[in-house]
Amino acid sequence: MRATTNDQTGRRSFLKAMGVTGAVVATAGAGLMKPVKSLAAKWSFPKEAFNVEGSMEEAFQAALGTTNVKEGNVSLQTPTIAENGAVVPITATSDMGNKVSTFHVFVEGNPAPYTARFHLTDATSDTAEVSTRIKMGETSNVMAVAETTDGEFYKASNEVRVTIGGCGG
Amino acid sequence: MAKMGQARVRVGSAKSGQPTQVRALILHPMETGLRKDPDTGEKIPAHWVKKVKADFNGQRVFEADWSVAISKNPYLSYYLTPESSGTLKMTWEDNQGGTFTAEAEVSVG
Repeated sequence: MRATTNDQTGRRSFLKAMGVTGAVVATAGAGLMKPVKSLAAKWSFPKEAFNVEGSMEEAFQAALGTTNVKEGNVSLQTPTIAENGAVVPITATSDMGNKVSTFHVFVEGNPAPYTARFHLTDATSDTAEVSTRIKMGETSNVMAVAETTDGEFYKASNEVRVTIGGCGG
Repeated sequence: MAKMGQARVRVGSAKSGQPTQVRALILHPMETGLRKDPDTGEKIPAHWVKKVKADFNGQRVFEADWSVAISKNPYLSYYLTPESSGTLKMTWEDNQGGTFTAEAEVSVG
């Protein structure tokens, strides 16, 4: 598989230098529209919810708009002991496949528990699974919540013991 | 030295209609804004990737929103089901206006 890297700002200034303005792109054909269209975010950034400090109930309310979260239908893979809290690998999986619209991740012991969310589409939910690496300040529960397309929430939780906290360095 | 914002996308071998794993990595400090410079004692400004977007053949297939609690040099994986061959383009946006992209060709066997 070929992989390339380029800075988006470089590409934009290139287009500008070529005299390709938005209006010209719009009339030049659908093919040219694609890169422009792809820049817009489909989902809004949950700035407020990421800043909420407090209990899991408060974090759920801010992130999900409800505290009604059932057990089951989602599983969470984490280490039992994390020697370095700065890098804790996690994987959230659900057997609900295309019914999953979003995975939410929370770390109970962090000052602001809401950590991340991952939006899936029909093209990325046949296998509904996401992995990333998170920071943990202290030993606590990590929680994955799967949100379904019909607005239900399911959670799985693991305790991760942190030997060296990851928020200071 | 590897450069901030350098990104890489890898896609596993693909068959039409079969999920295949996408793995993506970007070099980024993911500064929380709470850390102090050990030499000067001054706060290091927050600098983190907030948004990750993935487009397959120009169509949005995946998006992520991140807080400052995602680890430095963020790793991400998910599963894409390609119906045909094409280009997977990923975009990372940080809170200081940085935008970085990486692409992978997906050929359906």
